[in-house]
Amino acid sequence: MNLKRLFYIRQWQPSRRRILDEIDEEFHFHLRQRALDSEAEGMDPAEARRDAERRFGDTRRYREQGEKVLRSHARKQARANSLSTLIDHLRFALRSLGKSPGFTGIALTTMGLGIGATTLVFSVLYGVPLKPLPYADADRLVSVWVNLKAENQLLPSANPQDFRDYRLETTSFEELAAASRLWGIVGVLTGDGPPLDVDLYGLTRNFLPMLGVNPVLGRHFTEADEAVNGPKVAKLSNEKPSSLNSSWITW
Amino acid sequence: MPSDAIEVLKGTLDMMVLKILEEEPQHGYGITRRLQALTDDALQVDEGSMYPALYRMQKRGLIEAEWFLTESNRRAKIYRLTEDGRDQLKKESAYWGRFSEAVSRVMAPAPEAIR
Repeated sequence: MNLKRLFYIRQWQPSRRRILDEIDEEFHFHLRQRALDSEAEGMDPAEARRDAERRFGDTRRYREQGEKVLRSHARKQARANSLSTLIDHLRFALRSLGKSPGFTGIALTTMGLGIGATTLVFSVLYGVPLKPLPYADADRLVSVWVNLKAENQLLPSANPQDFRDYRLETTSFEELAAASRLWGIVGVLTGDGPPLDVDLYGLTRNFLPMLGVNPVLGRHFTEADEAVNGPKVAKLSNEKPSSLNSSWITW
Repeated sequence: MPSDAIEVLKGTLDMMVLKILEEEPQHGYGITRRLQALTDDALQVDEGSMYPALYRMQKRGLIEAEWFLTESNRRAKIYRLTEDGRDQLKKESAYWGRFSEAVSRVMAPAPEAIR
């Protein structure tokens, strides 16, 4: 395993250039000292230099061999250092924490609360607004807003005539459906049991099919149902099903 | 280099370098000079071959190196023995003692030849 890559502590490693420079400096020192010593014994300076080189041998070969060894040595050392540095850091951190229990307590509490809050958000918040809607192709459902430029208004609604045009002419959407709470109309449901107050919503015929919701009883709305003076038809949600025995009512 | 120079046995150069460094820390050239002085210049070895050997021993942790300024104000890389190097030298010189004694016994003139 490559520890250097795993940990952020990356030890300094001498470059190839630097290693070669040091080898050259060492070799030059040797050759110079040898030449100086020979000169001191009475040898001619030029002859002394040649003699030093002859005694030294194949400089290039020894330089290459030396470089290989020193480079692998440097790599080995850097590896050892980075691991021991990491261990030192950890040990120091633990010892510091032990020395200041107050700080340690606050840090642990902070982390605990942080982790707790994150867990809470993901277990509760995810379940409610983040989870996809339980409808067919939920990831392709969008809410369409209308930009009324003249009045500088942006609304999530349109009047029925405009909506009909949009639905007829749209090329951007597979399906365009509308729903609206019918404010000001009181719904009373009568049947076998006592009458019930119900909230009323107007839906276009394609609204529920678009969401992939099918009636348990009865049928979807049709184009005829949607006509301006068409029949008065309704679907009943199953919120209060116990007191009802019909899914279709008229009023 | 004398023409009757002796080729160095494999591995013995390392041992001799350790022995010389046991006396005192030295730079590469100093080790070379000491080796030549001790052997009366009898060993046939390129002075340059000292360096790969030094680097190998450094990598094995037998010696360590540091740059110092010499009296002439030039930088020199000084080598010294580590504890591991000291142990290694002890082992190797014990082995060498037994080895050379055995070889000498074989090579010494047999009593019969004297007689």
